Amino acid sequence: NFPTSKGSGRVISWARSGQLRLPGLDRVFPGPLTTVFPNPGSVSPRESSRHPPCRGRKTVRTLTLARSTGVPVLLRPSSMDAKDILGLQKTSFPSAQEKKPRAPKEPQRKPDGVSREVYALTGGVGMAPLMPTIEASHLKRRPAVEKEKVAWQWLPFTSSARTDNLQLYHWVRVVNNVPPTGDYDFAKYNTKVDVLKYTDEEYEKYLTEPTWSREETDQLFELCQRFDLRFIVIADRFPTARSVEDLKSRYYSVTRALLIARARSFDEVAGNPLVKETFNAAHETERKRALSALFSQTKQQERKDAEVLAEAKRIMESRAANKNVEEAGAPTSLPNAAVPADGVSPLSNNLPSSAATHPAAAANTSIPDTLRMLKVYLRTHALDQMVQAVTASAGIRMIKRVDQTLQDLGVNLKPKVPTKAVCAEHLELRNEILTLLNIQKQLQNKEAEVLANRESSFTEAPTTPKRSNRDIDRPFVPDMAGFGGERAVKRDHKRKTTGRFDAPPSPTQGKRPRKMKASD
Amino acid sequence: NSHKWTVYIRSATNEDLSVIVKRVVFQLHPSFTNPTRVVEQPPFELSESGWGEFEIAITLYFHSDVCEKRLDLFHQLKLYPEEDAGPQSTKKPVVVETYDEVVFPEPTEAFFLRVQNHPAATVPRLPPGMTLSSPGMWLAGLYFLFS
Repeated sequence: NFPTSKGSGRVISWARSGQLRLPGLDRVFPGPLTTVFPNPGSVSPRESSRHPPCRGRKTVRTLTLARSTGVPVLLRPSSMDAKDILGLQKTSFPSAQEKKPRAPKEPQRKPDGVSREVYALTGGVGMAPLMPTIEASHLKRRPAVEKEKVAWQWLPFTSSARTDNLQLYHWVRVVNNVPPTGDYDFAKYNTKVDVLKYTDEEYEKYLTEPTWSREETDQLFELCQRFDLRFIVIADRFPTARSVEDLKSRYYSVTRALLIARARSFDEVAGNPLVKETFNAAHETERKRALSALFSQTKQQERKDAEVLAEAKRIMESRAANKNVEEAGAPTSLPNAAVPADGVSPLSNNLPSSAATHPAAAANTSIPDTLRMLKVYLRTHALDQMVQAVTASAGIRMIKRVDQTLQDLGVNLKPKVPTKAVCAEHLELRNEILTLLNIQKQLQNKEAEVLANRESSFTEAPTTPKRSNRDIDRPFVPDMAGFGGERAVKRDHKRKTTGRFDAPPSPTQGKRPRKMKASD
Repeated sequence: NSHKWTVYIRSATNEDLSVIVKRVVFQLHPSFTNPTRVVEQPPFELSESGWGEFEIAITLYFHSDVCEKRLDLFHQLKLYPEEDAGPQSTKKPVVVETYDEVVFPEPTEAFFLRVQNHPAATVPRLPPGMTLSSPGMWLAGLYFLFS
């Protein structure tokens, strides 16, 4: 501790980290503890910019303090201090400073309606638009007198789309007293289908068909004309029951025959889409059936189909890749038959049958993808892959427990003589152990739940909705209520955590400690 | 040069593997001269002398109608026996053998016919009613043993 100065009565204390805090001065000067006389040359820009050079008495006072007591003081020199020491003028060129900044400042002044802080916050000076937007003078001028005279009138009109000459009225923009001419604007949207009409001779010559009578064909065409080829409606209105495909095929074949018959040469109508494509009724029925089947699929089926398709794709890819490698390729007809299936069901029928004929490597596990790609592999590698595939869903802790169980049973984690049978058995054993451990864990969880429910029935706390579902086996033990309840709850909570690593607690074990508590 | 050792690929019952294996390449430690040793005929083994224990990379190349791809294996060369085996004897060699099976999930028909009755390969029995000539069928996997 250093002695106080004579005049000020202040104590300078050193901070531990070597920082000097001068009371009365709100600046902290870091750095080594050495005597420093401020060097006018070494002004730290950081310091001087952060705090504007204070021209007040504070700086002067600390300097005098340093000088008078001879105490080694570290001061990061500021320009003010330097000038003070050297006796230089504090304000350089004061007159010039006042004039110059004032001139450019004028246009940058903030608008009067905005407070200073808000102005600075919202971008301040940079907010001024570079381009004039809307000027008040423009607003006055804008409704200029137009060259033409525009008025709106309520006028009658007719539409060529209508057949009954109904006259309706609407607002019309009239320019220079000349009402607009022309058809109603929306009449152009009244498209109609060109349904051909055949004469009797044409019918006799080209259009007869064993399953269709003349009357039926006439009715069909009349309905087509009336309903604009909307076959769903036509099918509904058709007097005899005929499927949509049937009607469609009749219509298209008749029209096609008519077109070809009426044309002078075939080339004329060859471009006509009616002639180019024939309507395939069988394909249509199949497509609709498949679509409805797809639509009515359950979620399960959807997933299965996605899996099957992905598998087929993989097989196709692997076979395509291997086709170049092998000369006598493995039979490729199977996936080829499977893939370009029309509907969903043929595909699903093919692949399960192929999977059934292929002898699976292990009892009930499917071959992992990585193995499928390999043309040759080691049995141990295969086993590793299948073990990985099985335990992929289980966590790392479960895997360790399975390994531990295997070791406890005296089984090697990797069989020493990995034949096909041995590997299959090993895999099955692992699966069974995994199942066992999972069931054990579930059992523990259930038992913990039951215990927790029992305890919660003792406390007065209101049961949450989800708990009330499980109150089925809530035991009614009247002498336990209140007294032993709370303590027992605590005990059971503790038991719940430890129970995980021990054997699952039996109910009798749970009851006994509680009884002891009550007797206490 | 204190230790002589041999690394080999052998069938479990010492059958001739050349029906399946075309050649074996042993990749030794780089401190050996010509660390890549190729063995084209049976017996597929390699003898050397040296002191260190290292990992030998063994690559099996099969005949073209067997499999185009090669198979890589690794073997850790052990010169010294386990800790508790007692004093070493120059009479008794240290044998470290690993058993494994090479599986060909989709063998070609030619290969299948060739090795069907060869003792080196084990062919699972085909399910009854299946003949080789019917298309769209998955052939059972073949495997042979080595150590």
